[in-house]
Amino acid sequence: MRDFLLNNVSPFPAKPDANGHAAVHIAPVSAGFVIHVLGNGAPDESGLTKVLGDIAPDLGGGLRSPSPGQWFWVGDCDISQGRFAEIAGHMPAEFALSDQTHGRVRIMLSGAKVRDVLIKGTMVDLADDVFAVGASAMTMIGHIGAMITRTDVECFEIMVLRSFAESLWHELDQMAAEFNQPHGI
Amino acid sequence: MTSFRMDGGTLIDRDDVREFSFNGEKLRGFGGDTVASALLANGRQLVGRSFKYHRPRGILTAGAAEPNALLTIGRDGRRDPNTRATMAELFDGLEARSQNCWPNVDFDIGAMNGLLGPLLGAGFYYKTFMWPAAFWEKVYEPLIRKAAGLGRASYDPDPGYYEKCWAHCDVLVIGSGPAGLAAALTAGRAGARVIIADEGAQLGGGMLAEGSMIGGKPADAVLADMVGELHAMPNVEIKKRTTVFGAYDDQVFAAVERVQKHLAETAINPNRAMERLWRIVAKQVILATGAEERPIVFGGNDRPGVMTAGAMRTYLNAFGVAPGKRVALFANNNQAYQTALDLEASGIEVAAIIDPRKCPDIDYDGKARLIAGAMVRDTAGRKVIKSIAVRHDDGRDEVIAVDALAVSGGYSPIVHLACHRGAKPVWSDEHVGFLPPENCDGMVPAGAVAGNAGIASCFVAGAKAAVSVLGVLGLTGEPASLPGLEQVDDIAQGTVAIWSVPPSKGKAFVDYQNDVTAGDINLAMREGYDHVELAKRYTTNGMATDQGKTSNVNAIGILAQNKGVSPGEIGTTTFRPFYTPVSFGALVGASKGFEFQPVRKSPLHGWAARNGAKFVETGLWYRSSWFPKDGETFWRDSVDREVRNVRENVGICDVSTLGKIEIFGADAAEFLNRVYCNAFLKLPVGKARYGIMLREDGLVYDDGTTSCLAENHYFMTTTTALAAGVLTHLEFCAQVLWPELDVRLASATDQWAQMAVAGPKARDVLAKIIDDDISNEAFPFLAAREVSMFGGRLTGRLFRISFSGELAYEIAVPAGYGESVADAIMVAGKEFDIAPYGTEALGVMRIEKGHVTHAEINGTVTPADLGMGRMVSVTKDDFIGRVMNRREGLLDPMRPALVGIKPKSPEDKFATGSHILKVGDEVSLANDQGYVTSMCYSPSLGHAIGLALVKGGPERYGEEVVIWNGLAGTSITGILCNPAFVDPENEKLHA
Repeated sequence: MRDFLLNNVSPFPAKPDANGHAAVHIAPVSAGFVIHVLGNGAPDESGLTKVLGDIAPDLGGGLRSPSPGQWFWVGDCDISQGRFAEIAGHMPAEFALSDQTHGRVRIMLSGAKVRDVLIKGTMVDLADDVFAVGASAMTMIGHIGAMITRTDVECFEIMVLRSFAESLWHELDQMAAEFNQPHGI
Repeated sequence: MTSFRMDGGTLIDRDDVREFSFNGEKLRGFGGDTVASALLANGRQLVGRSFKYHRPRGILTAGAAEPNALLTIGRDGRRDPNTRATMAELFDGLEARSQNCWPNVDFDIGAMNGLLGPLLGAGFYYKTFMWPAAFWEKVYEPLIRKAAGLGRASYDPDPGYYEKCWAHCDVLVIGSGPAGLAAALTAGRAGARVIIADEGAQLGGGMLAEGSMIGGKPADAVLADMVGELHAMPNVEIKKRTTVFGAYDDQVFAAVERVQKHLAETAINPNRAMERLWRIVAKQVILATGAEERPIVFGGNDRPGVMTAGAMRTYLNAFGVAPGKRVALFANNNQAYQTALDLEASGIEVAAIIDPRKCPDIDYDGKARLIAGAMVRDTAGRKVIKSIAVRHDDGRDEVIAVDALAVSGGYSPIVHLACHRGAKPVWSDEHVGFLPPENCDGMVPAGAVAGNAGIASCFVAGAKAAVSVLGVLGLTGEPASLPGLEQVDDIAQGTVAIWSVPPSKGKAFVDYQNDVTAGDINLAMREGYDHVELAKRYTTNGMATDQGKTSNVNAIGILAQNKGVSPGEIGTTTFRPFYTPVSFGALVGASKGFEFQPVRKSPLHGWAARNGAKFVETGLWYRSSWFPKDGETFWRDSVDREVRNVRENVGICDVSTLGKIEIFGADAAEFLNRVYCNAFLKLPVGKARYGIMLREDGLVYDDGTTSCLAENHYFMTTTTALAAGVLTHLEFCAQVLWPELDVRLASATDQWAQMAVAGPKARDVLAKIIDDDISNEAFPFLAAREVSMFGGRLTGRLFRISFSGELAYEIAVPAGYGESVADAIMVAGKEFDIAPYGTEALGVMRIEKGHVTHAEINGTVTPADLGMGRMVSVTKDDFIGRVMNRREGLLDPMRPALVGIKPKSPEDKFATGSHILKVGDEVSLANDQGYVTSMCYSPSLGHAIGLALVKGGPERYGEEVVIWNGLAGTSITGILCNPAFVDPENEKLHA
């Protein structure tokens, strides 16, 4: 068989100046995994955490819940299709896995003005005492559905369907553009 | 500077000289000026012409209620018509023009309308111009529209950027006058998250025009201290130049912020919004919007130089502008006397104070002559006021020469936001105005809007309101200690209602913006339009951009006076957003041009683009429609070639946009069996099946294939259009209808890049990249399973299904690898003459094969109508749509059913939507037999073909019919036939 080249193509536009914001940094996440975990009963996040820790202790990652009994298991290391199948095969019946690594992609927004950018898109209250580090929520960024997770004081992860990724990138780029001053504002 | 610019002015910066133009004339003002204050400072009292009579108009107010001084500001795409000069901040290079005048504001031909005044009263267009009838649309209406009106919108695109934002707070304080500031300080000191919003360029509201001392300190110093403390609080967000214009359910308030509208073009940051629309979610709200000073309705009350007393005080104290050199005051309340005092303190002669009260209870110690029990009946002057005619208590008339007149008819609390959610304001005889409704549902009025008067009184009211909302929030706070509280003493306004003065020769205007006079209101009453809502619409009082801020209460008062009832019995018209005009730019936000709506791109978009695809918008998706080659100049050239190539060789098509749903769970099979009308319970692992979903009413909802990939794991495809709808439907079924079933659903549309490889050589191509055996025996029609690809480097999902009617497969791979796999298929297929094909060719081939889409699944058809009646299970216990599908009407054999249709003469063409008639019948929808749902040119057959829903359907194969295009006025003869034009025996599918 011919040795065909297989590239994992990013859905984000390669626009170098998009990373040039002084007060807001926008960066797509090219590595990692997103696995949709579907529970069959009452939400049991602690139980799921234990199961995942037992089956794949090396992968780490975190859980974001889009709805009762469902989670996105998100991590930064790459896993193969074979490894996913292996993990899925070991999951107890109460949890089903759907690999969404290619279907849901992530963008990290960080910087001093990150909340000033995000309030242009989301109605989620991002105040420190309301949306603390680790919190996540399904929301809209403009007209695009997305999941927003606070990963640090001035850092947010936005997870979006792949087909909307380029459009969301443009929106975020535009929303952040007013901070494109050499020293921020 | 001019003689009208005086010393003082707390808002202006005299070191910041700004040049601007007014109707082409170069003028100067200062930083901090509004256009109105700068015009007045330059002695320009005449600024515009009125709506109907083209009367000379000046500046009436100093704020948002301005009905007269509406200017067009800016040029080209940045041109803003109907801008209130009183709200527009002056910037260097500003260009302002008067509206509704020709050739210029000083000499306006339209002023001749004033001579026709007797013919142009309220509702004149209902009574005149009745004959001849044809003239109304062609002559009268265009003439009236040309003669009347406001500014003209620009046809150039606005180069500015606009955006929308969300904000959240514990306490939203609307208005930053003394009550608002006290409330914000009290709430802020208690630690609440506070947003204080004000439409002005500076916080302070009425305090900005206050020239007196507060607690021994100058008012501006007190204000600076308060604002400074608010700025220092991290939990307080200050929004200046922000008008809260709407109150909505769930404590959401809409506001528009003028971010850069006040800047010169050279200072505008193109990446920053010109205006920003805020959606503010507030737990509690303090309404500190103040009160609007009312004009008084008397003859010639619209003449330039007539101004509300409060506005005159603002121009004097805040902008250092003298309204005139010899001024009179006409007021029915005590508060307005402060204007006379301030004018005198500035050295301006106050010729007289005319007070309709016979014995005003006020301790006025100024120099002006006080004429009690008198009224101003009329004014004189051509384009500015020259004198006033005063009617004394004893009936004597006196003319007093003045060049400005301050007017105060009392105060109307600005209750709009308290009423946007449906509540009605309440009339107060004591305050001679409408106060906010008693229960404002999470909104506490404070200050002038609640009837408080005097700065100290408003301080107390604002602080008290804040303490009350803090209690609701579970916070504790003390009323802010502020200077001057020892002066607290609700000042008795002593206002007496003066709705109109005795008639005079001059027109007495109620609504300046719409040229509605007291006579118009009276006429409306005489003609039966005495309900406040009817009177508004008959006279246009309270319409247009100012929404009657200065006119509504006076109109209500006149109605009440004439009917002999209280204004409370008349009531108000309905308050609705927006409080003040909001630009379309702010409402649209960033959603224009490329950002008009989100774009969804297939994971194969880049591959398709590299292969020259022409894209078409399908909902939000961009789908590759066809792939032109060199020399193909017409889309059909490409589509016909693509179809022929698939039929003869092999093609590849992006079908990634089809909806894909992963279904898991021990009861997944039972679940599918219930949502599809055909059997799914025993679908074996490794097999796909075509399924039809019905709605509860028994009609077809959607179709697609579902494959069993493993025990308790299925993969469903839906149409592109209904991907989200089907998932929602399934979730409803799983969560609401059958919660006892173990079934779990995940959208996987974006996870997979999916491509159809179709044509007699499809297997040969795929065999070059797929490791598994995909021979007909090993992978027959409707097989579906995971396959190893590229020597085990990738796992894909292979489905042997066909929409084109050819030997075909759909291969799905993780989306990121989609382009590489498509490239590999192109390379592997080169020796087999592979070519990409788009959705147009796909559409042609499905019509040739007689496959349906939502052109046929149009919400009115049953499976039987589509020739798939036998798929509807008669053995299953239940499924969605089972009962209703058996309704008598849906079983009628004469229902429109799917047929193929072709022209009798191959060279004839017909259009989708054409109706089918029996040969010989009169051409009329009364004889309608059905219609063409889909049509295309078939490269395989060499003539047009179509699908149609026709009464009797398959029973009429072979019948000649008339295909009637009523829009084009054409008819051809057609023949009804089997819809499977190509391979009716399905031999290709199983090859």
